[in-house]
Amino acid sequence: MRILLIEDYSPLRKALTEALEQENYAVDSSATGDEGLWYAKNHNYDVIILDLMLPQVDGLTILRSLRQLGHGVPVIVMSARDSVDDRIAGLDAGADDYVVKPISLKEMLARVRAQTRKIYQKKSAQIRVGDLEIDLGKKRVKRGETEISLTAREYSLLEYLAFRAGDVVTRQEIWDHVYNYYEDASSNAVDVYIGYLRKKLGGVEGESYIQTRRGQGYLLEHQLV
Amino acid sequence: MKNRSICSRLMLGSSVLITLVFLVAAASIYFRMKETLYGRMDEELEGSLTMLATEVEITGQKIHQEWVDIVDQDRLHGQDDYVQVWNVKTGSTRRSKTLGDDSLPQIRGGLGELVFESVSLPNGRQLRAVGSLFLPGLDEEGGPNVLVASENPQVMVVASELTGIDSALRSLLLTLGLGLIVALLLSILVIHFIIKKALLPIKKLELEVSLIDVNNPRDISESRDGFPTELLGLVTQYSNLLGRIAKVRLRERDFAANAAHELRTPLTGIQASLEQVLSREREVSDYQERVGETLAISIQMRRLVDRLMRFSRLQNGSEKVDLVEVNLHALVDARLCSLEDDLDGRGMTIQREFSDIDPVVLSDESLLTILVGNVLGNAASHGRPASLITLKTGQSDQGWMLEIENEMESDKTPDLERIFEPFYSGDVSHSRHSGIGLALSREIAGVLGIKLQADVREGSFFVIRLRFPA
Repeated sequence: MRILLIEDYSPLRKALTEALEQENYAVDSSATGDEGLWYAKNHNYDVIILDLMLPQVDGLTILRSLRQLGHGVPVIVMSARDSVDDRIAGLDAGADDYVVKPISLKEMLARVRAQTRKIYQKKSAQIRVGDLEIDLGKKRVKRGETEISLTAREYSLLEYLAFRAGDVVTRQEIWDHVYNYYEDASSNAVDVYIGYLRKKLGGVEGESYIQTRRGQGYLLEHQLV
Repeated sequence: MKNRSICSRLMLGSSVLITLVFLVAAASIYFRMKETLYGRMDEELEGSLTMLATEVEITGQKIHQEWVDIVDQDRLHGQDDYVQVWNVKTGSTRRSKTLGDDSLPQIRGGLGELVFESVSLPNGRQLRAVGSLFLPGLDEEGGPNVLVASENPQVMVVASELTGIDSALRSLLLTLGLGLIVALLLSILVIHFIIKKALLPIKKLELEVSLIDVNNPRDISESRDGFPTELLGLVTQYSNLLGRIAKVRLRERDFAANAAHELRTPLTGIQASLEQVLSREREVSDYQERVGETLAISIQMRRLVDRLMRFSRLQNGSEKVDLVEVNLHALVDARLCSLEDDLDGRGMTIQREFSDIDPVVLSDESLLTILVGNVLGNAASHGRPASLITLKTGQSDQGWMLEIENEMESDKTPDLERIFEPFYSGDVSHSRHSGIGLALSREIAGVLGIKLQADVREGSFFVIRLRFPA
């Protein structure tokens, strides 16, 4: 999942970015409103965390601009302004959630998870594909009763595929939602990690979860082969 | 103090005034009428006396009282006429029958002079009387006269009963009294109605004011057309007051929002940093780095709280001031040294246009250091990067002046009315400053008697001017 964090207060931005990355999110962060708006307009994010009092362009202006352009990306407003009027202004401008500072990192991460579930229309924190169970809160994957050990990148990849289970996902989409732009990865990195995942998920009874659609991308679904 | 009703006071005042007017009018009518009736009676009495006096004649050795026959036979007026004549020389007197044994008072003035009086008989009857001293006439047909008229002056008093006039006057008095009461009652009712009607707009204004939301006061001057001209001033003043309240509320809201931002954001930073540092095992150096960052935020917050506390002390007048002679050039240079890193970081240079004489001002060195530091820091934070900050000092009759001019970073002209408010910022972000500096400077300037002014020059240069007291 790719997150955009627009926050001008450097210590908070740093801590939040690190916490999100620790949770296997790909994170872009911006300290100014104009830069944040540029990121939001030109990239595909799963969630945007937005401060309101920003230099150059304020948070509400960013929010309204995005909605006017038709961007439906979930936006969590994170502000020190706690009055009812401020919350109403934020939500009316198009925010999906409004949190008041100070906020715990754990709570912020839970709200990010809630927004990602919402856009991929998953009500529960557990996703099931056949006998494969992905616990989004605990970041654990089980197949039947057996827990499967995955690296952070493998988990991110599986989580994204699981959110879109049943849909064909292109390599570019995987790249956009799972990898950080600054990462120096080769062009076939996605294929390599898909291979790793298949090996770890591949069942003894010949079941395959991740299928390749030639020229299109990958599809996660439970299918007997 | 007891609250007085405008309505009651107007009613009372109007009632007293109307009563007085009616009383004066009624008294005027009454006395005019009395004067007229008495005047007519006096004319009649005068006529009777003049006629009857001619009926007192000297005939030989006697004075013949012929009027007695006329009166007694009622040939003059009737039973109500009372006549009595005295012979001044002999003291003898003659009365008309109507008097019986009663006597009229002997009313007289000079010879031929008529004297009018209201008199009463022993039986209580009220009379109007006229008396006159006169000389009896001579009966030429009676032969040679022996008595000389001038030696036998007579006094005649003719009186008539006042019953008719008194009755008419009593009736008039009653009519006037009743008229006064009825008119007074009607006037009170009409005035009460008019006053109530006239005071209705005050009730309307009261209702309008009661419906105003303190958090979002609306302009009541929009409905001024419905108010009488006497209340327009009050409506306008109310409207102005509400406008000022709205501005204060807006500033309060901005202050609360900005203060929340300035305090909550670093708190969030501390909380997030500590949560993150504890989220997993780290190297000692990593822990040290994170704790160092958190400490830096804490120090920043402590400075903000210190400034807020100082701001509060200055506002409530509890900050002590110790006046000493301060060299302004030296103080400015010292503050610039402490801002060197900030200025270098933003590529800004200082241009000094100082006076040849060192300005020495009488001030509190500690507070003045904060004040000058804040305005210089403001220029360093808000000046356009890689631009010039010009510092000028000069002297006039009013004392020393320090001017700091910087090129503005933002195209947006600052709101000069609000620039000295706590946490006010033309830019919505406070990332580079606390927002309390200029507000604190204004308070310090007030305490030290320094005139602090902000101005925009040539559209893009921001100027802060400090005028020190002479």
